[in-house]
This record gives sequence, C-alpha cells and structure tokens, in this order.
Amino acid sequence: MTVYLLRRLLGSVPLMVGVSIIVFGILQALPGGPLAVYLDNPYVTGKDLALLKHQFGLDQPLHIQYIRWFGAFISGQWGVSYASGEPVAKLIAGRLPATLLLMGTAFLVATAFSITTGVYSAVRHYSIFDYSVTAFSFLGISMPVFWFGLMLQLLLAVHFGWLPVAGFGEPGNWIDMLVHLLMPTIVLSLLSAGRWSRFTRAGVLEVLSQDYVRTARAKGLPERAVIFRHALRTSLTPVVTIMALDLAGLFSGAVVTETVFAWPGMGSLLIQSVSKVDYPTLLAILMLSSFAIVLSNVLADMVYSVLDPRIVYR
Amino acid sequence: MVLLILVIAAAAAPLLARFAPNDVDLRKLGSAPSRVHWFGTDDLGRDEFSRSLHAGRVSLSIGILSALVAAVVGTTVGALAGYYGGLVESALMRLVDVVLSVPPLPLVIVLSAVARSTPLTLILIIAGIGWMGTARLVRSSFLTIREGEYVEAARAIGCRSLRIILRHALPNSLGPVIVAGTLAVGNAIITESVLSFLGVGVRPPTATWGNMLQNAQSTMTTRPWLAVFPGLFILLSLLSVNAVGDGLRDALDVRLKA
Amino acid sequence: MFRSSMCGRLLLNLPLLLVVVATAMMVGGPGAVGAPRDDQLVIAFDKEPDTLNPYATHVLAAKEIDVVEGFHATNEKMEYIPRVVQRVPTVTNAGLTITAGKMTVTWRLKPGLKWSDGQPVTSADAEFTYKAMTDPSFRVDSRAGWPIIESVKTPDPQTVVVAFKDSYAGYRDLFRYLLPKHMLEGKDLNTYSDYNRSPVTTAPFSIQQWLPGQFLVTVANPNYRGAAQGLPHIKKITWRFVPDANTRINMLRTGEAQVAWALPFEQIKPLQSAPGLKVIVHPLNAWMHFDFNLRKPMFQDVRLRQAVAYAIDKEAIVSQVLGGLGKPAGPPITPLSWAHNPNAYSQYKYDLARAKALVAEAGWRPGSDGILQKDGKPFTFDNCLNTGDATQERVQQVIQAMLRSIGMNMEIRNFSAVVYGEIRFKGECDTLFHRWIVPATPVLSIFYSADAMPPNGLNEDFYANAEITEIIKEAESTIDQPKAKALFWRAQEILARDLPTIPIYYMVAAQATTSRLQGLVGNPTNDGDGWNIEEWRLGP
Repeated sequence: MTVYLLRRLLGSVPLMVGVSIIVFGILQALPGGPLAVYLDNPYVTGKDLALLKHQFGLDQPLHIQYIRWFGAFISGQWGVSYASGEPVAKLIAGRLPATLLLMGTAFLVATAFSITTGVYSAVRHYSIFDYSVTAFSFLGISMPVFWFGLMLQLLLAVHFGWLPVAGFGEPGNWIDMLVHLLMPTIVLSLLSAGRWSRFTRAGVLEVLSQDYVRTARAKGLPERAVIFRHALRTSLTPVVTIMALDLAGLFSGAVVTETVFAWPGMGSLLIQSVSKVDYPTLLAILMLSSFAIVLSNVLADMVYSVLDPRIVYR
Repeated sequence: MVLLILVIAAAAAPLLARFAPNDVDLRKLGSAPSRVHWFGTDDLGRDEFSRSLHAGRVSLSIGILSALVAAVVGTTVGALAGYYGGLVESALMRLVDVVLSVPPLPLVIVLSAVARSTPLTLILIIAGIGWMGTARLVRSSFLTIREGEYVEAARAIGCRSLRIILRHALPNSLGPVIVAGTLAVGNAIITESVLSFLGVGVRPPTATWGNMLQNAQSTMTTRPWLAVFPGLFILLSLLSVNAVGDGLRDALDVRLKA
Repeated sequence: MFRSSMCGRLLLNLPLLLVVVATAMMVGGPGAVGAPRDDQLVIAFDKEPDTLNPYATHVLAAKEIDVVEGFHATNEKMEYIPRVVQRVPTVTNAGLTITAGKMTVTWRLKPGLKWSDGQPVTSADAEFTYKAMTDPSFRVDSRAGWPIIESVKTPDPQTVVVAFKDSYAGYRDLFRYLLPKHMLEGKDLNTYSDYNRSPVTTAPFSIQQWLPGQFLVTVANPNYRGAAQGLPHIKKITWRFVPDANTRINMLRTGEAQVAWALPFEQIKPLQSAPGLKVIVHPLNAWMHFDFNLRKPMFQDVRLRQAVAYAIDKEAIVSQVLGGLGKPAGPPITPLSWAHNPNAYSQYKYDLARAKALVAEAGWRPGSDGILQKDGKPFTFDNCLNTGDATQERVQQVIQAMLRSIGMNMEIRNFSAVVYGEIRFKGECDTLFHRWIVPATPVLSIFYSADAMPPNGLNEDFYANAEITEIIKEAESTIDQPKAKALFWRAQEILARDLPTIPIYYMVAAQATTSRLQGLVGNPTNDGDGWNIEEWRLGP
C-alpha cells in the first residue's frame, strides 16, 4: 500500500512536468499575452512595448523562458506579479485559506447530503422520496450558480434579513465569518450534491443486484448491515471517482460563487489575473490547481482499495 | 414522454411559433407574457416563445450529441484501460490524467481565438472537455468487475478479450455511464452558455437556452420571465433525459427486476 | 430498520444546523460589518486595485478611491481645477509662455502642504516624478506627453518650471499625480510594496488597511490641506470589493453598503423608484462607435459606409434599447467638450430608402434570401465587440437587425477582453463596435492620424488621410482655444465625409446610493466619481 502510494506520487512527477509544459504552452498561445493590458492605452508605442517585453524576459526563445520559469518555480521562486508587483506566493497565500474553507465545507456538506439521499433513494427507488430527490438533484444541476446565489441573497438577506449579502466578515471574528460562509456553502454544495446523489443512487442500485449482496441477504443479515457493510462500500467506487473528478468543477463553481458572494478566495485572483494575462500569477494558480487534481486522483485510487477489498494494487 | 414533446416542439418550432425568433421589435421591448406573446418578449422585443422553441433545437442537439460523443470516447478508453490493466492502463490513464489536470478555462479561451464556432465544433469542444470523467468511471467499474467471478469464468472458458469486454464487463458498468451521460446532457447545455459568454458559443442572434439564460442575468429582477422559461426548459429536458436514462438502465439490467 | 436509522441521522443533523443558524442570527446579521454612522461610509465597489501607484496601475480603482493626486484634476464639467498647485497655468494668468514655438509652464505649489506622513511637499517631488516617468525601467501604464518635456527646474521649493520641446495642449494632464520623493528615492517603483499598497499622499484620504480580495479602508488624512475646514466630512470609508453588480445592489438594499458603485443600465429604472435610495446618472466623455476596418476590401466604397450610417436608427437605439440613458451621437468628440462640432455627422439621419439607394448605386442587389449580392458574392462581414457588457451586446444585435433590413449580413464575433484587444490590434475584424473614453483635453490623433495605426496608436480603422493628420496635429498643439476649435471642427467634418467611424451614442454612467448621501455628482472622465470625495456627506 505505502509502496504503491509512493510509486503513484513518484509517477506524478513526470505527469506534473507534462502538465506544466501544457499549461505554459496554453498561456503562450493566448492571444494578447501580458502586454495586452497595455494595448488599450492609446499612448503606448511600439518602442514601449519592446522595452516591456525585454523587461519581462518575453523576448527570449520559448524553451529558455520555460526552463527559466520551471526551474524557478520548483525551487519556490514563483516570481512577482506583473500586475501588482507583489510576490506571487504572497498573493496566493492570502487567498488560499478562504477558498479551501469554502470548498472544504461545501465538499463535506455535499458528501453528507448526497450519500444519505443517494442510498435512501436507491433502497426505496421509485418512491416519492426518490422522485423528489431526483427532482431536487436536477434542479441543482440545471440551476446556474449565479442564479441560485442571487436568489438566496434576495430571499435570506434582502427579504428576511437573516444573513449578510456578501463578504468575508469582520477580520478576526470567527462567528461573523461562519455567518458569511453559510450562503456560499449552500450554493456551492448544491452544485455537486445533486450530481453525487445521482451517482450514489445508481451505484447502490447496481450493487444491490449483485450476487454477494443477495448472498448476504440470504444469510439473514439485517438489511441495514447489508447496505452499510456490503453494498455501500462497493457502490461508492464510482462516486469517489466522480468526486475526485469534480474537484476541478468544484473549483470552477467556487470561482463563480466567490464572485457572487465577494468571497476573497483564489477565484477572484484567477479572474483578475486572467483579465491581465498576469503570467506568473496565472501559472502558479494553474499549476497549483493541476497539482490538487493529480493529488485527489491518487487519493481516489487509494480510497477504492479501502472501499472494495477486491481491488488490489500491485 | 416529456422529452418526446420537447423534441417534437423544437423540431416543429417554425410551425408552432407565430413570430420569427430573431425579429427585433423595438416597440415591444421586454413586454410581459400576454396572449399575443405567450412567454413575453425579450429585451430586444423578440418573441420569447418562438426563441425558446428554436433554442431547443440547438440546445438539445448540442446537449445530446456532445454527451453521446463523450460517452462513446470515454467508455472506449475506460474499458480498454480497465480491462487490459498494466501498460495499456497506465498509458491511457496518464493521458486522461494530463488532459484532466489542465484547467479547461484557458483551454477554451485559446480555442476561441483559433476556432470559428459552429454547432459541430461546439459539440466537439464540449465532448472534448467531458469524456475523461466517463473514462475514469468505466475504468474504476472495470477494476471491480475485472476480478469478478463471471469475467474469470469467461476467461477460463477461453473467451476472447473483446468478447469479454463487450458481452460481460461493459453491461455491468453501464449504470454509472448512463447516469454520467444523462448528467452530461445538462452539463453540455450549461457549458454552452458559458462558452457563449466567452464568445465561443453559438453566435447571436441564434438563440440557445444557455445563452438566453446567460443574457437574462442582467435583467433578473426586472424581467424574470426571460430567465424562467429557458431555465424551465433546461430542467424539463434534464428530468426527461434522466427518466429515459433510468429506463434504459433498467431495461439493460435484467437482474434488477428480480 | 433502515428507515428509522435514516431518520435518526437527519434528526441528529438538524439541531446542529439550527444551532449554527441561530448563532448566526444572534451574532451576525446584516449591518454587523460597517454599521452606518454619519461619518463613515461603506461602498460596494466593483473592482480591486492592482497597485495604488497611480502611474503603474491598469485599473481605474486607485484614481476612483482618490488616495492619490497631483497638480490638477478635472471636475464634473470637464474643467481643470488645481489640486496641490495655486492655479492652473494658462496664457492669461502668465503661467504659460510660448517663445519660438517652445512652451514653458510655471506651476506654484500651495504653501504649507504636507504629505500624510508629515513631510513637506516641495518642488523636488515634482522633479522626482518627472525623473521616474522618464526612467525606462519604471513600468508605467502610459508615458503620454512626458517625452515632450525638455527640462524640469526647481528655482525654489514652491516653484516648478517645465520647459517643453514643443507646444503641447495636453500639458495639464502631466503631473496629475505627485510621487513622494522622500519615500521613493532609490526604491524599485515596480515592486516597492510600502508605497504601492499604502501610498503617502496629499489627498483627502489615506490608506488604513487593505485586505486583498475583501476591502480597503481609507481614513481622513490628518495633514490634508482642507483638514482645518473639517474636510473631508466623512472620516472613514470602507471600499468593499464586490465584482457582481446584482450583489452590490443587494448590499445597498440591506444597508450593508451605502453606495453601489457602477450601476448597470438595466438597474437604473427599478432603483430610481426604490424608497430610501437614489440614482445619480451623469454623462461620460465616452461614446460607442461602429468602426470600419479600411484594410479589408468590404467597405472600401464610401457609399456602403454611408448606407450603414443611414440604416442605423440611433434615436431608436437610445430611446428604446437604452431607455433614454444616453444621447444619439454625432462626431467622435462628445458635446461635453468645447471642441464638439454639432453640425458634423448631422447629415446622417435615419433613412432606409437612402441607404438602399446607396447600396444599389454601389452595385449590390438583393438575392433570393434578401441578402445583397454582387458578382455572386453575398454581403457578409463580421463585427467584433468585447464580451461582458449586456447593454452593448444588445445594441450590437439591434444594429445587426437594422443592417439586415437593407440586406447586409452582419455576423457577430465577440471575444473576451484579452483576446479582443489583440484581434482588434491586428485588424482581424471587418468592423468593430467599440467604446472610447477620453480625457478633458480633446484628442483625435491617436484614433485617426495616419501615423497612429497599431502598434503606434489606436487608429484601428486603418484610416489614412494626410490632410486630416496634419489638421489634427496642428489642433492638438494649439494652445489658443478659438484657433484650436476651428481646426477640430474642420477635422470632424472630414471624418463625417470619409466616414471611417460612425459614433452611435454618447454614454452615461450611474451610481446608486442611499438618499442620505450628498455631494456625489460623478465625473465624465477617467478621473473617476470619487474626485470630489472630500465634499461628500451623509445627511439625516
């Protein structure tokens, strides 16, 4: 197990190198480049642009630029933002906690919701409960994040006055922060809860018809034990896959949620740096999110073997 | 059933709608639903009912086709990887990993600069950023099934690998694939609206449910019907696609009926 | 069995949820952040500054927040007003002299000025600013005008004498911001956080705290020159960064903020009637225009460009699509400017018959599908716009429909901002639908001079006319206003004749505030609506 984990992590190194080349290449292919922000200014001349290019080191051949950047990146030198002149590491460190908090709570809420409702509607499939969960799931999927967020704001903040509209709360005031966290969490978790609930339902339904479940039932085990000890574990494999996969989607959802609720996370930083093609910041954010995806996939594979003892990694 | 009605309504849009979908009428900006304009008019005085129906043609075909393409590609890759294991699995799954690990947003922006968007390229783009999930899913199901008795049994009696994949392993992993597929239809419709926003979607004035919803964002509080109708259509089509998916799965899985 | 356990789980979770919600309501609730006080203001702001260095920033925010200033600003009528100088130098007050074509301008600082850290403001700061702006290693947003300066002399601590190589009407746009020499000397201006995040200033407000992604708090600058008169009236402002317009409005409604910055058009009407709120609508020195790319073959024939001008019903666009918020446009200099020529472009009244006749004259006939054809080729071209502004996209689609009615097939090809800039610059679109916002001093050269084609300027029409290039050049270096005006008028007439661009409408901007806020009047230029922030006050 440990050996496998180590091997996977080692295997991720070339993967990350591959990803870094792709990410770097994509940014290079972006029309405009970091000088695009200067283009809208009527008074910037070709000479100014050439000078800026040189200052940013953009006049070097691509592979040199890449090697320079990658070397610096892995040794922890993430550079200075073109836009604000601040160190990229500092910018990201300032935003990461808020995003992790939001995504973490939303992940937990969505997991709890989807597994309970998913299992229950599988066991009682085609019941009223099942239909309402199905309807709810699809409502969650078909409702755009911004739409749901604004509706919640209108209802809970403007109409009832229960919750604040947006923001992160007063600095240092934990309770105020939790209050501000409530609505964004609901919005972000709904996005995934619906999907995951569907997958749990499908997975459990699939497994319930398997032989070993029937065997377990035939042995006279109580239904609850059958479901939780036997069926649920196996049926969660595809759900775990989807959860790992959805991490990227959850991040995109977080970008929108953060925008709607003025949540000070990576999302707003990403949007700001995309709009300015701020290479150092963009590269760091993209690499970090890629790394998170890779890591979550390795973890998902680990979880498989915990869930389903028949899966053996060699 | 509902899906059928939606598809027929969309297909017969020109017959059902009294107004052309792209006719601008500046005297009738944003009028509320009435007997003349059943769903009201949008912020350019275009008939919302007609636009909704015409949009359905585009949205449904993009949604269904891209989900189908993604499902086929994903299942093939996942099945090959999951069945063979070893080097094939490593190679294919690393490919999936790399594609998956690259955040889609900048990818889409780059595509926007190079590709002229037609519904076909859109279907390919949406499928292109959506097939990896299915691949993962199928492979993880295969991991479970690979060790299952019936595959071992099939191997023991000397079935060839393709036959094993097709006859035994694949049907067993169809449940999650179908769910993923039905969800992908909805995802594709929503993704299309994001693409429209980025300027790579279906071009105006052609309506899609996605871009209608996207446009309604700014008038949400003043003309809510502009968002409600396309939203309702998306929800309805998702629900009905899902119902079809459930039916399909039940039909394929004989044991469930036992 | 199973059922009961499920219920148990839900019941277990329920109290927990209730506790969280209850605590939420007891402790927090709206108004917990920035409870309204008479001398405090919370503004739901649409953006976050990148840096507060006024010369390096690419975002309007630093200027709007008004924590940086310099020699002059322009007011709501686009008149230049003095800030740290005693008066705006002109020929009349002998602050400006021209000898042998060379211009010399003398500025005198107000006496007793101090930076917010207590250090005196002197002419050495102006000299330092000049040196910084001509230092190539300082990455600035724009160096416009600075290279025309020949020398900056400081005969005494109050006096700045600037000698120009030429005569230059834009001199009042130089030294718009003064950099503090005592803080910045010897520092790398690109990365010096101490200044970039919390500049020492002479403005009414200085920075107290900036939490990235959340808010920026400005407090009254104790050393502000108006401090003795009690200025600024408001002592503390929290600028909260809220990118989504609907969220900003919701915050205004709940009282979490007293100002919702940059109100989108669709929201103006509904908020005007909301109790306790008011909407301030003011004109901008900006206009939306339909540009022809004259490097492309499609619109070489001026009759086709004229047909477009006749086919677009500007009045209907403004009254219907914009709800009257804006003005049908004439020439590419707005009526706010003294150089605006009301006669130019007045010939292009909406006239479909005329448009169709012109198209026919140019040899295009409608095909069976209603689209014009010539030599078997359909009249199809693309139009590009920056995505993101719903109103602009709507107007673009109306133009599309209007042109379709004379048989022109306009395909919409919009791009996100970053991509759009590059595409526009390379001249890849047949036509553009675009916005310009310009400073108070009239300017045409960067848009229409033959030598201002990208990358040397913003002549994206690729319009080359030697005559107008000369006229504009002379107009912009003429200090004598009546003389300059005649030249600008002539230039606008030529533009109306050649029609490289069709201005569609002059724009307005809007702010929504609590009805208690007084003094916010807005500003037509990039000086931003915070330009007179020291005079704002919260009434009863």
